[in-house]
Amino acid sequence: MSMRRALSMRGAAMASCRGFLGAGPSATSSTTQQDFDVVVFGGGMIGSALACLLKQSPLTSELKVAVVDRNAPSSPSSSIADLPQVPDIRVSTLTPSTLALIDRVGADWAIHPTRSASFHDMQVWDQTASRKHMRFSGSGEGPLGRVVENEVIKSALQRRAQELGCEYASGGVKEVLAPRPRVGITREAGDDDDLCDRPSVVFEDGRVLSAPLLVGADGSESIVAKSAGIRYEGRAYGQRAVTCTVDVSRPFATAFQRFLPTGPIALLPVRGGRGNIVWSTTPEHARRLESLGARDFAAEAMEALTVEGGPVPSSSSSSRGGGGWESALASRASALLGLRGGASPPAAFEDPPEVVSVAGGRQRSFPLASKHALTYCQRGVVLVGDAAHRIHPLAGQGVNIGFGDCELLVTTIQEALWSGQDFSANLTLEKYAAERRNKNGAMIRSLDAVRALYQSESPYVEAARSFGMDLINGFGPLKQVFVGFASSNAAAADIRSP
Amino acid sequence: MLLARGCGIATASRRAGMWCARRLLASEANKGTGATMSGSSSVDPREIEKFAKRANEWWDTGGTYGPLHRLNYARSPFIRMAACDHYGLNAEQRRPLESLSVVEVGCGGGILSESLAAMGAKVTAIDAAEESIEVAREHLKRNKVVPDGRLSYVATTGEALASENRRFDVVVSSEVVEHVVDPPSFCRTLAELCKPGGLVVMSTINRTVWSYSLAIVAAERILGMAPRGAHDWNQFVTPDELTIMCEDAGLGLTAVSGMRWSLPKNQFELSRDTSVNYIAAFSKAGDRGAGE
Ligand SMILES: Cc1cc2nc3c(=O)[nH]c(=O)nc-3n(C[C@H](O)[C@H](O)[C@H](O)COP(=O)(O)OP(=O)(O)OC[C@H]3O[C@@H](n4cnc5c(N)ncnc54)[C@H](O)[C@@H]3O)c2cc1C
Repeated sequence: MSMRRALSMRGAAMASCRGFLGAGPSATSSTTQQDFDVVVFGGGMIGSALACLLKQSPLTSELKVAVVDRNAPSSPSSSIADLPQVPDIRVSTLTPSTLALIDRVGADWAIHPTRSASFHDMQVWDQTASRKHMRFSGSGEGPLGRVVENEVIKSALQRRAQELGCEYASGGVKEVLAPRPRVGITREAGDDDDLCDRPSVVFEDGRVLSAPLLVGADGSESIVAKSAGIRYEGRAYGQRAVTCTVDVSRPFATAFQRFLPTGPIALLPVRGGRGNIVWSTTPEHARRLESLGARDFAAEAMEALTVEGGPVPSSSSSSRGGGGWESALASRASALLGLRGGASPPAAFEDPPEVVSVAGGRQRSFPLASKHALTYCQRGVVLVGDAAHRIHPLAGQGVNIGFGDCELLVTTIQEALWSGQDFSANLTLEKYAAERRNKNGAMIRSLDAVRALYQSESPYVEAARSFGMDLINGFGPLKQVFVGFASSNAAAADIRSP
Repeated sequence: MLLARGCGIATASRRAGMWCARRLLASEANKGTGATMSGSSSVDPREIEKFAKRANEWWDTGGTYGPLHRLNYARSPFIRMAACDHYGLNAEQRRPLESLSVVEVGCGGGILSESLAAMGAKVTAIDAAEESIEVAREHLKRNKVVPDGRLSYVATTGEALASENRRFDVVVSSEVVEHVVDPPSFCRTLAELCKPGGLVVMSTINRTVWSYSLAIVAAERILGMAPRGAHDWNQFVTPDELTIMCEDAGLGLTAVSGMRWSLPKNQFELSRDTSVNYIAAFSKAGDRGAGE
């Protein structure tokens, strides 16, 4: 019933059900309707990466691809403008597999050493004075990852996608018309999977873009997911992340992350020998931090990053006066997190560089939330990137799992084309959806487990927290949280203090 | 590569089963075929009725014929590769079969027909069940993969089409030979529909203990994946029997591959294992000459 209504409401936009095979602007329509094979809604990092991958891969390169965004893309012809001297505050840590993908599609401009900063180690430690920490190192030649400004990644991918023949359509979007999910178990005759369910995008100026497959790459407030009736599970963390670019006392090549009871603070290297701070904390604290001057903020950040009490000898459970219950608790927490303990060669603790001052613009804060779509596909609609999952920034994985989505989606579409199957049918998309949702779900659960451990108010967890690094020292799923499940060339070394 | 491997396996086991197979075929032929619709047709009316009753279910991918949709992920790539190999085409294009005429005998609701047309072929798809052809035509109007004018359906039999002297570059018959009354005669009809130097591709279910447990017991009785009574295990054809029947019809085996259910992917994939589902390509002797 509601299905019927939804269909009839789609009205004129849906008038032409077939005809994309004739590709190109359809002259028959009174409105200016254009038909494509794939419409990617959202031309951010993920949407543009998907567009590049589609046009770059065998079989899918023959598809006609459009990218829709409210903002106009970087023009491929524009001379490469010099980047601003101080890097933008929105940056992403890219894992080796993401770097390989960017290189493969020919957008390596973005990850050139002059436009990005590499890090070879990652150091994670907690707020206790014990200097328990863990360090991950890149093995072999490659770095563990690179930090690149979102704008740089985005514009490189946008320019490349256009070079490869994707059409960008920008402007205000009036509505997204997507087939609604089927309700209940009622089936009307002819109401089958392949019913004329061709999604389309209607611009405010009357332009209509339509394709058998609409990809939602429009970020965490996805209107594609909304119009397709895809729902989310998740939670607001009740936290905000304060971020800014900072001047530091020396160049560095380590990604630092320290866990404080209020949340983690990260110091990442960015181009030009500067640093980027992402500081997750309570909303009140975030507001106060935002109001601080450049030097005062730097001083507070420095304090947050500095080991309390200076160098302290190794702490064991006995030196903390811990009884059997403490270690029992720790091992329970370990079991909970699915960790194995294990001794490894120790690596020295590296003191982070001194944070001198906020550079460029002021520090700004963003709300933190975790959100996971209950399904990634729905009759001609499929989600990638933040539209499918928004995760805590503590491990810097957000955009990387989005790139992973793109890779599997393109492979899945290729397989459908290879088999002469409808790439927009649920039969095809469900394979992508199930596999990615599983993988990303595991990441989200690991992140939640780490976060819960550090942010619980429970005295028991508080006690376990002092063993925090012992817990993290296990090479379990948590290693993946930090280094990225995709970076196979990363070797981890866990450490206790000297 | 995959094709070549499969082929090796087939030839190895071929000779061993040859005698057995011939004897079995002879005894089947003696059973008599009183149920034939017309003297010259291998169609079994009871089978046609069975499919006609369920014609409206062809495109319900979650229903009765779901496995056939998922079988496309194995049989379509096989046909794509076999045809490209045979005719020297580049399989890595989106629609590599554009230069070929294809007939699909026993197309049902058109699940495979649309795939073949999506790969570019000019497809004539036929089925003896009018109801299925109706469903197939309806679906074609709404489909999103077939280029205009590349697929047409006719409610007829292979024999009737052959008697009209229609000949094709590629003849496809998937999951049909196990349902016909007279398999040897059916193979001769397929050979007849094929141009000299052309290609015939058939897929079916092997007659092994495995296929009994998987296709009959598990699929029909336990999982309800196939309608109960959809298959008669005694009618299943082994790769050796199929090879012999085709040889007798003037077709030489060029490649064979198993099609195995992959649980994690929830679809079929090509494999070396021919013990349950398999697909085979045969070439017809003769000079290919110029196209139709
Ligand atoms: C504080 C913070 C720090 C982070 N740090 C990291 C990090 O270190 N590493 C990491 O990997 N990730 C990080 N992330 C996450 C990362 O920023 C996101 O994963 C990434 O931006 C997602 O990209 P996307 O293309 O999916 O979505 P978006 O970047 O949100 O892009 C969506 C696009 O769609 C367009 N759009 C949206 N709605 C509409 C509409 N209605 N009409 C038209 N166009 C529309 C937008 O204009 C935009 O171009 C961080 C996030 C936060 C909040």
